[in-house]
Amino acid sequence: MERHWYYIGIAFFGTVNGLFNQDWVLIALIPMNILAPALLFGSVPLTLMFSSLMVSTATVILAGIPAAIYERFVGAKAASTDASLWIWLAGTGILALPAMGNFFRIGL
Amino acid sequence: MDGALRGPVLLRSQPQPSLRKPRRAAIVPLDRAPVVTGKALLTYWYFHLPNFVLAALMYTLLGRVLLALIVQPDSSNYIWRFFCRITDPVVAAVALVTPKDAAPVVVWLFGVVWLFWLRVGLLFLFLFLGLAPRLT
Repeated sequence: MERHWYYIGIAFFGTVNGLFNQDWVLIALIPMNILAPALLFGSVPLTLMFSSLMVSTATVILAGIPAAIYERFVGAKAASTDASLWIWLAGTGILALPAMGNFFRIGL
Repeated sequence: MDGALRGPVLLRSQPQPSLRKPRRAAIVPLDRAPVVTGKALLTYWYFHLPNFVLAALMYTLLGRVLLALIVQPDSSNYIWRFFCRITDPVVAAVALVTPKDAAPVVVWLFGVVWLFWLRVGLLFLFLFLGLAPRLT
């Protein structure tokens, strides 16, 4: 499989989790208001979007940890292997599972 | 018709605003945002100090991303070198747990997100321990 399909899949699952995982968006939203209320001009839509972005990126980052460990284990030098990209993709898919219900119910 | 682009999912399936009892908003307006005074800073230094360090690293890393748009990676610009020197340890740590396919700028942005979640974790830890500053 071409590498860009892995990236598209990883980004898709990350986006789904960021948009539809209400619990984690709330966990990001409330501290955002405490830690940096002026950063997003006190705008609720901007704060929601930022929180959603943080959850999406955190999904991709967390799913990348086992892939990175695998790469170190097999001694990958310059680029990720197909197996590590599969691990990364599967990881984002698993992390996005709690959001899938909302995704299919609400849709884009 | 329902869709994610129409509004935040968090606010779905709630009664109309006119039928709802007035509730305290989760988002505090900017003019009523909590203010940290000098006294609170000293009293809660054990929270503010690590929070400040993490925030400084986070914004410096974000600055490095923005600066990279106009500065060459091997530039001798002193601001660029300062940003790199300050944030290189964070970037090295993040690179350890990031797959190798991620471009350097992606690793920097991942670093920003790591630092954001570390600050959130720090806040929740202090709230859990009952040691967080009171917001007035």
